[in-house]
Amino acid sequence: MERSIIKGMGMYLPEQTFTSEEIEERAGYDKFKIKKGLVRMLTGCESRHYVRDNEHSSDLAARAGEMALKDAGLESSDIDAVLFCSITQDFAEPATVNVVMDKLNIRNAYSFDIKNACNAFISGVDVADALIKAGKAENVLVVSGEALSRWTKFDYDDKEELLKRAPAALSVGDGGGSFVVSKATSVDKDRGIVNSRFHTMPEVWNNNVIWGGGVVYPKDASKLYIPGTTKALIDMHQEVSKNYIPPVMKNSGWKTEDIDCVLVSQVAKWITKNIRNIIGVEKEIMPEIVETMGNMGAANIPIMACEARRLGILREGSKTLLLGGAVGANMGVMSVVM
Amino acid sequence: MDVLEIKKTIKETLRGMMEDKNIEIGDDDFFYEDLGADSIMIVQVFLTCQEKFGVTLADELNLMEPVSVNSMTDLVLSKLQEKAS
Repeated sequence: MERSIIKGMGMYLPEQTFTSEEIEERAGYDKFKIKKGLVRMLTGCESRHYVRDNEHSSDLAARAGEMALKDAGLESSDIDAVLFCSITQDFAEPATVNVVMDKLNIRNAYSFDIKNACNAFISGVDVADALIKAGKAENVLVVSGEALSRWTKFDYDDKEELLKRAPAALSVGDGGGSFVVSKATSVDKDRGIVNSRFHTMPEVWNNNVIWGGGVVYPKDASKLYIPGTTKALIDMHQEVSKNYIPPVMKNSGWKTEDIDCVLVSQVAKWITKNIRNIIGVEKEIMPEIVETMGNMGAANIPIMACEARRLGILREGSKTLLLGGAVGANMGVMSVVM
Repeated sequence: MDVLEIKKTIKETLRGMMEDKNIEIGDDDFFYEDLGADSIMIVQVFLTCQEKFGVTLADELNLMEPVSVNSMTDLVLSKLQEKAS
């Protein structure tokens, strides 16, 4: 059977940044006399990047995709499938991937959007792997562009909602990330996607729902924001981490001491710490970006991969675990030799 | 720093956010499990202690671990000692 490798990666962050205190002020903390510092204390996020008015999800994804193509040493014409995997999108129809492809001048590729909340990117990499193994593609561009600030509520008129739910929602940031997933060749040796496991717990779908943007509330733009009701999801994330990491490790033939790098979704520093303890690895191999970039939804994983490589944690041949929890709720674990 | 002052600060902060303003708070009662405090209340206690006692507690927060007045006081004291040394 064919094997897939991560041949290139890229990321993009918008220029403007905001501290958590600036965001809390904008959301009305002073107006409601709420002590500032909650967002930072709860999540560890000190600052994040926000798009400008003329920047959209497709722009973030295209900039990251451009970098990933260059990193892989490929041209636009080499790509035969493109998957746009994000929470945010440019519009309801058509699929945002079309806009990304137009911006990257990719003209002859199979394409579609993948929606799966924060796990959209890992799902996209898994689908790319499946397309390659099925012989339907050789080079797949997986892109994410999260303009989550556009779906962040700042006009709170209810102190309780601002106090209880907003701190998690206000930690989000904007950014784009991308992988080029390609068919392995003889020179790639042991590199490649080794194993993966996905599981959905639909009974908790009604948590942190962005109610707007669908046919249930077709005309109500005020419902298009991230509410921040994440308690059930956090509990699930940690519980499932205990149950789903071991089988992927076993199927990969890996022991804890074999792991070179762990890339996990960035909700809060204390959650990352707990997951680190569950896996039994050191902080040094588990980069965190929530402090300076916030939670960038599906784009977390590829951006973290780029950061891990920049920091020297991730190298060619690194045994890497990708780990994500998402609204829905679902969980994804993937083992990759980079 | 006086241990009693730290304990008083923790109890007053917690009590101020609880529905029952006269709730009895024992030194070993867990905030969530025994007293019914939610995660944001716990975060606010951390935030208040951080500001009032001038220590950094952001990296110590772990909402999956039970916390009581006594364990919180020990944490603040250890951070104060760390700062002094």
